[in-house]
Amino acid sequence: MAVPTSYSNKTARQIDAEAAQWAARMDRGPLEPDQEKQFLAWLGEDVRCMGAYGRMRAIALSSERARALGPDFDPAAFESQTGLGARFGAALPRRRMLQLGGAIAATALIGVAGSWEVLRIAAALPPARARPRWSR
Amino acid sequence: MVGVSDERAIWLGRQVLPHEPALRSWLKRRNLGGLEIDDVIQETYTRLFQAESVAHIHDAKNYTFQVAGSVVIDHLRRMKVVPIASVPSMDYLEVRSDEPSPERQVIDRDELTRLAEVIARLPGKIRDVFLLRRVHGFSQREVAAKLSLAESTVEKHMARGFLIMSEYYGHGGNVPSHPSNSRAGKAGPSDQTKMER
Repeated sequence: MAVPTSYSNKTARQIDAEAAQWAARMDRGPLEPDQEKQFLAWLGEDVRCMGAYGRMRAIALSSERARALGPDFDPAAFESQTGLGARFGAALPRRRMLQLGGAIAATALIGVAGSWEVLRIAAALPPARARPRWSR
Repeated sequence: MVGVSDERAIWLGRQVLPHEPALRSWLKRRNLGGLEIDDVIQETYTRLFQAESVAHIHDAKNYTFQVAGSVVIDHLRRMKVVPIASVPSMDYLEVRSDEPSPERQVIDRDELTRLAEVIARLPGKIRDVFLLRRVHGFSQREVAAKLSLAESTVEKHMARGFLIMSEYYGHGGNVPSHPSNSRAGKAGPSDQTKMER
């Protein structure tokens, strides 16, 4: 596919916004043939377009991991927290944490990133301690 | 899809995106010959997409910095904005990322927390759409039906969400809590000229 080497008159910000729209369109489903033509024409406008789209697509695909947060995920619990220091334990109940391993595995297996990720995440999560037998 | 493979996008999401804040602050200290940092970032990703293979790349951070450096150098050469002899090419090409890359495991564990944070910070309707689409896994059509919105509106909200997330990831999580409130609400190309910095 021919990607130009030059810049158009568009600003990077403009290209990012258009790239986000294409990423959202892809998120809906496969392109119709005429849309595919439009997409290729757009990519051909400016050397930055492919990178901007690919970056948005990377973000769109990595956000699929949100499935692992589970249906009872409460965004309000995260709203007040700032910075990156917030830990799972601070906002997610422990039971949820234990479920995460399995949920992440299920989600990750769908993606190409695949089983390595499962292993890494599994290694990163605290060990799910076995419930004492007499507790139930 | 059409020249931009999802497989490569996933690789970039895992190997390159986490280093973007460091890359941006590195670029900030350099002569970009009139380019914006975002221009360099976008063209860097283009080159990373065009690369035949990424299998040989062991240090994605260093590699990305080098690609970004060559984007800038090529630009300076093309523009002839400075005599080429004065371009400190070593400055761009011999990149040593001095700070060690964070432990991969730490990134993985924090990744879900960061995702939860950025979803939580999305403004109203965009957040509702995002929760249904990404956390609950409904299709865009199902989300549209549940929220009584046009499918095209759902798609616009998703686009807006991706844009906000890209700012969040690009700047290491330091984004005003509801960035879209201070800007034009629509993400259509026709509005973008108003959004120039």
